[in-house]
Amino acid sequence: MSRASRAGVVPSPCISVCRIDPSNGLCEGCLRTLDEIACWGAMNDDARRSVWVAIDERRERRSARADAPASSGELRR
Amino acid sequence: MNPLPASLRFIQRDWLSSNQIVGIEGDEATVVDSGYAKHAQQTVALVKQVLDADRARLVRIVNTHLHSDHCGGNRALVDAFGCTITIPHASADEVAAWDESSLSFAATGQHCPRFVHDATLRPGDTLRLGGLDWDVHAAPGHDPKSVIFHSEREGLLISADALWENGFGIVFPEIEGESGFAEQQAVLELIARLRVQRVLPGHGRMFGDIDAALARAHAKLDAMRSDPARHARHALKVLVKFLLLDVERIEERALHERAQDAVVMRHAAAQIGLDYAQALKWAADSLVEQGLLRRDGSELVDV
Repeated sequence: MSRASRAGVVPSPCISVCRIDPSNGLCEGCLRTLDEIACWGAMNDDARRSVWVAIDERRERRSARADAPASSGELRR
Repeated sequence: MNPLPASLRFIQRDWLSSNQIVGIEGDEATVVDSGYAKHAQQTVALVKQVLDADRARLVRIVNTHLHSDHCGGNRALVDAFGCTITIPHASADEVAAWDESSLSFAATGQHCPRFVHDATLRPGDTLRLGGLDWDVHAAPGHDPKSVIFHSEREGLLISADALWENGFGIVFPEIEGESGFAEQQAVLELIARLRVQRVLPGHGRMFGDIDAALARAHAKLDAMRSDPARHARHALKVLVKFLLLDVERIEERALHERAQDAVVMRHAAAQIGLDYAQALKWAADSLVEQGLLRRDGSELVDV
């Protein structure tokens, strides 16, 4: 959560997993859509923070599910 | 910073895979650099995502230099799009022969699927990309054969690993006992003379404060020149971290086996003044201490 609201440089969510899960269209590592990854480089900081908010929501939804995949550990990287 | 011209897309990746710059003109597109092999399918998907939005097709890959994190997706992109490949002219012979001893992949413990080039670029040539004419400049230092691209009209620089927002790539020739620091210095001085308002680097985000980036790069280069062993220590750590980004986790013993033939890593160890096994252990320990790797029993794990 904190990264989405932090002022200053918005860090890239990429953690070098870079594999799309075909079941939901999200990168298994950073939980972004292909479009969010492809457009990140041109986004302004507000748009980047919005992506972080979306990531945090997806992560919460995922961890709320009993079958949260083991790869959630990667999010701590 | 002004937005990029609509004909250019900057796909920011990570440290294992280089960034991609896609230039679109009419219904044809060129991509600069293709990332690492492990991420090749993601690179194909990202390029497709960008092209589909513009109903363009990929006709060409251009490589700034032939390190595995910049050309590892070449073959997958060719398979997916049937595009051609343009490489720096200085690398043409070793690519045509796929000469593993001159190409850097095995020497760094990395890998790259074989590809065939269709054309070459030399310093002084003009590259057409995204409806713009880009001057091709030699950028030795990080890699003696690297080129970078400059659009005078738009004040844009595609800098590959010659200049990042915070530094530049390992100066590999120096690890091999050849000159590289002087060349890197000259590249920074060249960039300072160009009209550059924005840099599209090989890794990291786009940036506009060129003077600050050049000042940081000069400070780092000065520190390397005054203490080459420090550069070698940095290089070995970067190469071990890259290997872990690739394999994600590995028994420390297996890491040593995997690095057996990586002569660049061996040469870095020699410059540090340690035997190879000691140097690899030192690098792993340092990366763990910095929080860039962690140990899990006898395994090293990327973090």
